[in-house]
Amino acid sequence: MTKRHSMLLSASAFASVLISLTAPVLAEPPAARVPEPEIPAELAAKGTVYHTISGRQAQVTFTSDAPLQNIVGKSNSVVGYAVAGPADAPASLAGGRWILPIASLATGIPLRDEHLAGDHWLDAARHPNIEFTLERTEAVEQVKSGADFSTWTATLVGTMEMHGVKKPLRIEKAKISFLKASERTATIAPGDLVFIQCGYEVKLSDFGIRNDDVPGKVSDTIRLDQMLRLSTVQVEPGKDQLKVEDAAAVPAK
Amino acid sequence: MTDGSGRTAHVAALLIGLASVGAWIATGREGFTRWPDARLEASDAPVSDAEQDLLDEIGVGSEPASESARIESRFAFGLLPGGADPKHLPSVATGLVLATGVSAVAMLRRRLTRNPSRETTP
Repeated sequence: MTKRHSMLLSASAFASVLISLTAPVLAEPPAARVPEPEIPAELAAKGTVYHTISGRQAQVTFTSDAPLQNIVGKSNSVVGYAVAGPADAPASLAGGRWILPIASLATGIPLRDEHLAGDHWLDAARHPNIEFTLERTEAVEQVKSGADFSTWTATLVGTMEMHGVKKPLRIEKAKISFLKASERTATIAPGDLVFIQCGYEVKLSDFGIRNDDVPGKVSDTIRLDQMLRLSTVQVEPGKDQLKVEDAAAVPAK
Repeated sequence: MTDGSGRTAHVAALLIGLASVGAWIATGREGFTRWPDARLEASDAPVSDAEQDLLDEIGVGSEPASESARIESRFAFGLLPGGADPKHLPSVATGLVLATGVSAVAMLRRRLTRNPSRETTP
């Protein structure tokens, strides 16, 4: 083999490797979306139903502050609903349910995302979602109001299911804001809006997640910060347009 | 394989190794290879001024993510592959394995092409 042949062979092999490595970059990762859970009819009858808007800014940010490393992960793929309470205290939510697909959690390092979803951690193959079912609200207090909005604080009481384990959960000092549809809210989404903002901690060990990397590399206590935007109108994930109906066709109760 | 082509292979291996280390330094000396992530970009996208004004008015903070909570969405040529997906395989480690492989093949071929000539020499 001549020097020229050898160089050509090396160049073509290198080009083949480069093409095979960079071609998949053009492909978008599969969307980790799940449909909104079905709303029980008896619950829907209790008040206005708000649908979670997903695919935009982070809805959930989790933080593990361990001695050896700090891990931050995010998801903007939470789906779910909340059913408002009576007109004079809508933050006394009648119920709600949210689903967070584990495959949607992004920490910035794909290998770590794969490990996170693996059977040594959240085991997404067997338990693909983290779910929170809101059963009631307590300590509901109005903290601010205006012509077309009201903001409340409340304790959210419900059940979290993670890794196939259900645990009761109380989320204190959650902020819940209700906004009537207006030109200003229309820049966010059509329909009446609700914002739910809260922060709380969960222990991995409470949900049967045990790993040798806890507590050195991953803290057993995980901090979760959530900011959920909901609308009376279902919005296509990541988009502004409506999924099914026009805003006017979905009357707020 | 001639001495010239063998030398070319070794030089190519050295260049691959140096290019890998250079890419690692140039892209921020990250531990693992990663690419821009559309999910992270959407997650960290700032809210519009109109929305921020509204949130401030109703008393629901939507503070910009602190530096510790921000996850950079960008390309980094890491020390190690960032995942099983082929696009995450390029890394310093992969480059060094490739470079070592090229050198090893060159040396092997050189040895194989030299031995027959020895056998025929009395």
